[in-house]
Amino acid sequence: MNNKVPMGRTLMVQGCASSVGKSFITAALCRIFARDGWRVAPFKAQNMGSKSFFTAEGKEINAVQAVQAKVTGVPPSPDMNPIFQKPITDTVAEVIVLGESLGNMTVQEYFHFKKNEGKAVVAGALKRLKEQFDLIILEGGGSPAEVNLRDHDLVNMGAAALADAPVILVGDIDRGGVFAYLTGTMLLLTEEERRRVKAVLINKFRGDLSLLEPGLALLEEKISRPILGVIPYINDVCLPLEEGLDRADDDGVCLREESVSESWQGAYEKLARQVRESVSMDLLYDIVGLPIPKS
Amino acid sequence: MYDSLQGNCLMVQGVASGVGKSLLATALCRILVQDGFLVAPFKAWNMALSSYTTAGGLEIGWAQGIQAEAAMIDATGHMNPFLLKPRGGGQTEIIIRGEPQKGDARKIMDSLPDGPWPVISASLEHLRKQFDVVIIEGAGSPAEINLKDRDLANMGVARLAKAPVLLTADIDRGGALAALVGSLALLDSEENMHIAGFVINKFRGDFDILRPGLDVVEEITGKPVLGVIPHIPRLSLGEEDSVGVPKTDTVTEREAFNQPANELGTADARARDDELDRVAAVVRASLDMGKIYDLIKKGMKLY
Repeated sequence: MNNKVPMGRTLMVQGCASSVGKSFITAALCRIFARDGWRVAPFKAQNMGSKSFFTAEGKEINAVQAVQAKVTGVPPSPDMNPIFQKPITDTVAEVIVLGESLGNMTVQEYFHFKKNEGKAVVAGALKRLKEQFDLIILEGGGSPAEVNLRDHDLVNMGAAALADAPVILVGDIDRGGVFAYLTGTMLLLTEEERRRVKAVLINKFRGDLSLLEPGLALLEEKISRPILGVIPYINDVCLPLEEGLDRADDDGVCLREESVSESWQGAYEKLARQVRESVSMDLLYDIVGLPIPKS
Repeated sequence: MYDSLQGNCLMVQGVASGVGKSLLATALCRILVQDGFLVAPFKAWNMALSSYTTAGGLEIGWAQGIQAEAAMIDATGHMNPFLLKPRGGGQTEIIIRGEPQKGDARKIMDSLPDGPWPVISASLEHLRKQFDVVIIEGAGSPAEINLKDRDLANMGVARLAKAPVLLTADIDRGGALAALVGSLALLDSEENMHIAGFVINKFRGDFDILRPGLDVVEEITGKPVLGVIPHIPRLSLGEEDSVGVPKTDTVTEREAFNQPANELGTADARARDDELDRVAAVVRASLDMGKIYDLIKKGMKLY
């Protein structure tokens, strides 16, 4: 399916909160579409973390996007993570743009950069990726519904608008309140932002699906969106995640290695298979606007 | 001022697990006892991997044990009428008013002659008769639309106690504003009436940036934000080791605290008491205690 001209389609994975599994789901979806023969790239407009990856050209990006690229079978590129902030203190971070450090910035200095140059940086990266790939899967950060943090957002609906991407909203059912988080997120988005959300995904499910099903029907009615799928809680995948302060991540933290070992590829293959079985691929292809490959 | 308090109830519910319900309830117990009230904790139904052993050798929910300590009283079985402990392999142990029952939890629940509510109601009444105030803790979220009939911990208890409810959200995790608005959107009108206000927990950063977000939530829901509690570092009270709830980043309570109260060294007990005072001080400074005392005194007649 290596058509001459890259299709340049997009899909965005946003979450109702942090740690809902956006990174894992993005990685899995990248791998699923790559397996189906598409040229796929992961993307996160702006990422905060302390784990770096250096590309062959010596460009620095967040390790999460590097791992996502590797499990998709493409070389990591700074276009996949155009803005990477490495926190130094609560108010100062090193800001790395398209793989190169701009030095340290305070919160105010970064806000100024974001307002004036951030959009162009992100738009440029997306344009270059669209010229090379059939599908770019964008990962959001935190929640798109932080109404007090909307201005100049680059990581959620800001990125979705620049990419003109349809959005899948992910909720974590393991911590409880998933219906409230999904409903509330939809309620707090603007009309235009809401229109981008095409479906919701429930992640980390444990227990009796028959107890959940009545709730799914009610939820679909409340938010007028289909549920793309319910992904079960998966214990044994590791992915270097952004370090929150004092946060012990229940998904586990991996060794910081530049090369992805066989066992990682195996783990991601398993994850991709589980996600593929848990979602409606027909709906997903419809949302993305790509033809379903003939098997 | 409030000498007419007799079994008045205030309930703490959360938008999810791990939002800090237990901590808020614990702090309220300590604040109230500091202010001269007789106060007891209560949680109707609890599912956890470990528990707290009372001086009387009964097993109740971890948080309720700590809350009893905060209230400077002995923990009793009435404070947690139903405790379920998953044992693995699909087996669950059930503990009723502190006494472990032999057999499978499901069978035992089904065999209760009039169901669980008379047990819950009787325990709550028992506490209300003895204490000025009962601080009730919910479980998970009150807005699990698929589980409302089966819910034994949240709005059913609020209804029984005619209790005003503080709905708590964890802002550190993101999506807290959405979770508050969404929770209310999923409650029916009667349940909505119980919600007296919101408490935001684990806040870090610049409050001026948060404030406009709180205004939006207040405007949409018509309910006030009654406090923003900052993230409290190096907390060492332990956190319920229940399924899906993150463990504390200090020693797990199974290791440190799941031992009969009379085995706790004096130093440990004193350290915990100091910690309870520290938490109470932070929470007291963060809450509108005037409004909260009004809620306790007037109950749901207030709104």
